[in-house]
Amino acid sequence: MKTRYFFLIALLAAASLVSCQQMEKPVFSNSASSRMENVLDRFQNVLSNPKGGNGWYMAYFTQQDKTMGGSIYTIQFDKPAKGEATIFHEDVTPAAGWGDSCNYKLSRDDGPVLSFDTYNVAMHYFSTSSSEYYQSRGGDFEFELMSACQDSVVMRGKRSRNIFKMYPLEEAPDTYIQKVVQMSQDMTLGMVEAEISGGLVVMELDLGNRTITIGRKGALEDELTSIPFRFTPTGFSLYEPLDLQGVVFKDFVFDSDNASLISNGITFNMVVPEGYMPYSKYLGKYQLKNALGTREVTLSEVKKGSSYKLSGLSAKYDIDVRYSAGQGILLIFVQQIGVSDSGDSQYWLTVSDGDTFTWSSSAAVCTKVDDVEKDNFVLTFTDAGYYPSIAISSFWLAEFTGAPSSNTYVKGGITIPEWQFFEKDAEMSFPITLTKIVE
Amino acid sequence: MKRYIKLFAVSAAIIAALASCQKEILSDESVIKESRAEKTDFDKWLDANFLLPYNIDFKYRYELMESNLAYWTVPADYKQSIVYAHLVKYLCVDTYDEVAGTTFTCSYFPKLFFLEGTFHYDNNGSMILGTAEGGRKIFLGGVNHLNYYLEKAIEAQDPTTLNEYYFKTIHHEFTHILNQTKNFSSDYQQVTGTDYVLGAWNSTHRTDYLKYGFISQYSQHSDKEDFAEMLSTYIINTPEQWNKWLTDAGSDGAAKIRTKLEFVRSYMLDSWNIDLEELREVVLRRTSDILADKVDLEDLTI
Repeated sequence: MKTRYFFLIALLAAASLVSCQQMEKPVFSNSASSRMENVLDRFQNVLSNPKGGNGWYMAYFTQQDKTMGGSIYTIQFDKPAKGEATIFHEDVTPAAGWGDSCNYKLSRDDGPVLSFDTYNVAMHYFSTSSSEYYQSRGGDFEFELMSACQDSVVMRGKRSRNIFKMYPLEEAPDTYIQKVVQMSQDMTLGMVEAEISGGLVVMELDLGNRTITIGRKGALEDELTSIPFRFTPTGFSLYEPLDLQGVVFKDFVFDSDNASLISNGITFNMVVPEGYMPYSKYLGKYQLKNALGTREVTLSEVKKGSSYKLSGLSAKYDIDVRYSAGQGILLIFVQQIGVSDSGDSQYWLTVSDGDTFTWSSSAAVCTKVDDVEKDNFVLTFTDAGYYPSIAISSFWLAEFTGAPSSNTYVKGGITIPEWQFFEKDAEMSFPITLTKIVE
Repeated sequence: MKRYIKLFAVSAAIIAALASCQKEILSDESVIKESRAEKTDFDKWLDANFLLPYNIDFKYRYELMESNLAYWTVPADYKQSIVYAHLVKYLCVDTYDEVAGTTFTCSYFPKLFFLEGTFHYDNNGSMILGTAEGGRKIFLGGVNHLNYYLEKAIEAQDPTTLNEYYFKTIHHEFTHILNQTKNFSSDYQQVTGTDYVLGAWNSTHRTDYLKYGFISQYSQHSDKEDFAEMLSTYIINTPEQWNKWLTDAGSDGAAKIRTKLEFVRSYMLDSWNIDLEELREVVLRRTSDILADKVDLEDLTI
């Protein structure tokens, strides 16, 4: 009898257990798939209908460390039925035969993603790899959509994880781009300073890499802050807001009449360091002199306000020269100058202390001017101090069988005369001077 | 006691069965959505020429999941993808149709093509033109340079570079797919067995590969790559060019290359009933049609 009750209780317990099914009330009224579709429809609607109807401009910062600074795209999602967008960039212009539109799609990935999925010369410029840039220029063409409304679209690059923001254009795309390009050409400031909260703050602008370095005057290098920027029609805008002694800076307006920048009610006035000369004054012909001989060379524009090409030293190669807008001086960094005819060797302009040499791309020499007021001024090359391990006293032409390393270096520098300095030596020692030829 | 155990077991089974009889209502809405954008003329042409007859998905629009995240790549250009699709069809799909029959092509030709605009560049100076995966998928890079090399080839009436960068890749990768389906004889790797160098194949010290018995520099990578290089190089080149390489290889190198070619010839005939000479003849004829501008590579008429 006891056994019968035992089994009955056991059965009831089993029945009650299987009856304990929890009826969970769904949090959402429709499925995850359906909700994602609704989100994508909403994003599509926002992208196709920006405020003002002129399309969007995108603040584009390439590479994870954003060391190349920022630039501007204009994008019109003008053919949603075909999934096509029309795209322009402030610097990259398609050659003949290449269109200015491409396909895009909104897809489900880890979340809603905007992908420009057929090639466009402008949109994919920073993502295109080559033997020279095997990891491309660190660009993005797929973006995770974070928020979108008629006033702005916020996205995250799938590769770089940088934040990309789009804002509605208030004018035609080409008009906007022209204004941005004009500003990038007009602004020639190198160093500015302002009084903030009772202290003097100095800001150096690297116009080539579109980055500011800012901090209190006299601060050590690790106390300074560097932030990339993009040009706007009125000045430039930082990648993210900068809080400096309680004052927040984001957008700077350029006052060309007073050579100053204004942001958040603070005026930054131009600083002219000793030996400063404007970019344009360096353009022209020079007599290059050193112990190997004398030769006429030319410094010509590559990127206004940022870089030059030094030609005439050799028939085989030119040398890239940078302009430091902050200091108003010239810089020559270690650089590759060419490859051998067979393609097996790379030729590099390196620097040496007369005993050892370095192929570190951070090593550089700079110029010192004798008198900024003279038309036939004289520039003297000297160690820029960027690579403290050696005291640079000469240029050294080195041959490598691949990317520079101790394993790829071919002993003895370059021995082929047409690649040597003055066709006779791999080394050109200081003093080296450039005397401006007045025409 | 036994009676209770039986009673318990039967009752438990009934309860369990009843508890399992829960009805769930499935939504009649699919979670798989069609693209928001309408199909282009090219999409329709691909459906008619690749998808419906061969069940081949020819993907020319970028998809992260199809790409290789180890490389920095960009999408293929739309117009050049059209040209590439025509060339793949005329020079490869139709070639195997003609030589081995449609059933062979339907059965073995890869089911997925994925195009990208650039090649895959490595930091050692080498680049990957294309890859085959799992016997089903072929990735083809460098689409955005196709028109440049095609124009050069037509202008010079010389398909060498075009073949090297594009069509050799397809034949090379298809060879891998055939090998992955039916492997070739292990005796093949004995011919130049000690000279395979894997990643060092592009070293400047191994440029005299012909003398070592390799038909291309990349052949030195491994026996599988060597086999694919032998077949693809043989069928896209004229007998004159092939014989010139044999002369350049010297007697030792030429003997090894000839031996390996016989392995390839036997493999294709025994495993796939394909005559290597006929295959080369058809490939060369079709290539000359392209150079003579006899094929409209942009026509999307269905």
